[in-house]
Amino acid sequence: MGNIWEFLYQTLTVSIAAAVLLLIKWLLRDKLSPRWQYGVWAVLALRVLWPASTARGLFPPLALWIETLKSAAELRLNSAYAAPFEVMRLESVLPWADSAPRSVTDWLFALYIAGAAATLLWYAARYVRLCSLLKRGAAVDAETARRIAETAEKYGQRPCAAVAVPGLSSAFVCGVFRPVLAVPEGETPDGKVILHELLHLKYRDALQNVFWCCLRALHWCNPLMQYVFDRVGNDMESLCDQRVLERLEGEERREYGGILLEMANGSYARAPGTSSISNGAKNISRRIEAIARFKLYPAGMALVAACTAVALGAALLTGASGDYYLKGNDALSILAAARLSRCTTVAGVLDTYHKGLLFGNVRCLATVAPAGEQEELYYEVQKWQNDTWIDTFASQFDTYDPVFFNLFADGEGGYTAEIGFFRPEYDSEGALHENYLLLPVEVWSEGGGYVARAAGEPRPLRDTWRYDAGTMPVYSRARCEFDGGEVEVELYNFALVDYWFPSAHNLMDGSVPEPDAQYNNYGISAEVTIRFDEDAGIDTGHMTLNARLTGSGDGVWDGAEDLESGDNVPMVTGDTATFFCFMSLYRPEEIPEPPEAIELKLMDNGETLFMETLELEAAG
Amino acid sequence: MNSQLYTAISRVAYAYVFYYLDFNLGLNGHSINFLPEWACFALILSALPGLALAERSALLLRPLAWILLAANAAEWVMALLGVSLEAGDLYLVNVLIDVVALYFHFQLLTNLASIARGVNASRAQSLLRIRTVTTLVGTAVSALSALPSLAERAPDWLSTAAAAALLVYVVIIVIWTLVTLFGLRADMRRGEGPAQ
Repeated sequence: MGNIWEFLYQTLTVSIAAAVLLLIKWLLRDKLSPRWQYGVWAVLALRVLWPASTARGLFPPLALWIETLKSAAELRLNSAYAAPFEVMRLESVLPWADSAPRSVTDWLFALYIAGAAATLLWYAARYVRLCSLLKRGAAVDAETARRIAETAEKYGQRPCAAVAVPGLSSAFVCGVFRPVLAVPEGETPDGKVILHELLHLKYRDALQNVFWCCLRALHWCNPLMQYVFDRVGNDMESLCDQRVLERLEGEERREYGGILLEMANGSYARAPGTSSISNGAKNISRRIEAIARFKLYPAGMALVAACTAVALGAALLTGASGDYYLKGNDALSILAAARLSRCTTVAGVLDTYHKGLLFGNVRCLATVAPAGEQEELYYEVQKWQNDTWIDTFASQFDTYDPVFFNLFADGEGGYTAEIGFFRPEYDSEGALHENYLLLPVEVWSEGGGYVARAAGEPRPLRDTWRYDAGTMPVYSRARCEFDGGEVEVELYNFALVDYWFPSAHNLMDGSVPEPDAQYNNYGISAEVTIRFDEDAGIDTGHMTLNARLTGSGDGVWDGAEDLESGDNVPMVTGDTATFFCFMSLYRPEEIPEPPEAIELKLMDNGETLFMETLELEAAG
Repeated sequence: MNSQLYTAISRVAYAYVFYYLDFNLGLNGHSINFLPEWACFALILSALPGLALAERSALLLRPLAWILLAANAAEWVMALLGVSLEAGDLYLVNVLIDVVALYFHFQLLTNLASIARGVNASRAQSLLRIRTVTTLVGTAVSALSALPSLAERAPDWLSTAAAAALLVYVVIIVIWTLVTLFGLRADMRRGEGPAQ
């Protein structure tokens, strides 16, 4: 944990889990035994030790509320530990500050760390004080020693060293590695009291006590958690009572309850590494109620006791997904929601970025904006005094028909592409010109998803898709000469997002991001132009071309289908033949890296005219 | 035959018909279940005093039965009105209901098995086996559904096989439970029940 906000999220998450456990335990208090009542706290222990996740939470709106509050507060501060637009990322439940505090929230975090450390020191001091008190104690008298030995032998327990301490009101066990049974000076404790303490020893309750004290220190400033840890301690004592009752018979059980009642007004030793039969009046009354139910729990519940603990553990350690991408009404909460719920697919981030620019939609732009650019976006939003819309270069366009050109993996986990904004135009004769404005973008992985930003200025393309117009955005080229002419290759690709994918219900809605959109199609085209020498004597009517991409790309190109050149008939203009080769990947799961080379085999009436592997170079 | 106990067993048998079977019809654009689950818990609630004549601990289920009745009734009414809430916002409520239901059915079937022991030992064994199987499978399903990333990483064939296996399991459990409960009812009607 690196700042007060992360601690707040962690402690509230733990509190929610604790509240659920308290409620379940209350509902099942008369149905499942003290064994389960104490054992189920293991779920709480795991929850305390498990960093809370913003992707999945026990109460998903909580992460959004805290992120929004953090942004609002930190915008006005110059904190060292927290930034207004960086998402909370809890990697450990232990607090850590690596610089001096600067702001109010920094100092609050520093105070929390100091409090946790002070709590541990206080526990340690109490333990040391108790141990020194015990060192001043005298050896127990013969009668007490005999009773301890008899009780241990009768109930098959391991005896332990004992000391008599003046001023004690009840017996207790102190020490984890060399435990000592402390008894009030001048008194011989009842055998049942000794049995209780010996059972604490057997089940290492003093060590468990140390464990719970450490967890308590992590949440020292949370009053609910302090109450819960008190309940944990009491349930531990109730479990010990249960174990005692299982070894007693008849009247002895009633006498045991009477002993507890007598201790209700006594003080008790409370420190890590200790366990005491007496733990306060209110706690003892709860234990008496549990003792009264000793024989009344339904029989045969062991399996469901384990299963409910497993079900609770699985639920309270994981939580529900936030689905934040539609949450938030003002700029800060929209940006917070975007940080918490990034696009999970490259198609999603490209489509959402396109929407954000086309519709000036703040939610879409925030969803794709890198963390480092969210602040800039926030101030841009403030400029327009409208939480949900800003003006962009494309927000005056009115046609939604995105195409993503030249989408390739960059080999380092990111992607590059050119987003095409469709701008149809009809000329004076009514002919349609399919024009596009292309914006180069780069995409990379951040915050558990993908983000995007512009990588250059937009450029216009006129009459795109008219291959003879030569205006397709070329990605790479190759050229070489052969005996009889020269060949030139131009390569480009385009990807289309699937509007009919089952989850794509929002794709046509410009105000809604679609973070997990999928591609319908990823097509790569190679335009292969062959210019023949005048005297080459080639019969262009019987030419065929086989083209095959090779190189990097996770094996997509190597061994992939040959680029099909349509019906293998080139477009012939004089001595120039142009083949349009196309390969399509349907619903690709991965976007390949750019191919490095293209293998070409040109044949004329079955005779090979040209066979060569050309290295592709960036079009520039 | 103990008539109160017989009535209670009958109600529990019919309750599990409502619990396991759905009969949905569309009305005004909404889908209504004419065998609602809340009816299951209403019947069981009315049966508990009768069951308690033979198994005193059955009365411990009363508050849980009320909770499950209220939760299922609320869900049914919301479905009737076409109201839906975000799954994430109801997560904790669903966790509580699932855990309560897990315990409820386990203890109820244990109590029924104990009653059946005095009627027909093999029926008692069946009830205990049904109890154990449904509890273990229910726990496994709850635990796995809390790990969606596991489901996403599973190959398609495994997901399909698991869904098919679950479907077969449900059919078997429904038939097995109803046959056992109505069989116990028939045994009691034949006068094989515990003496009053």
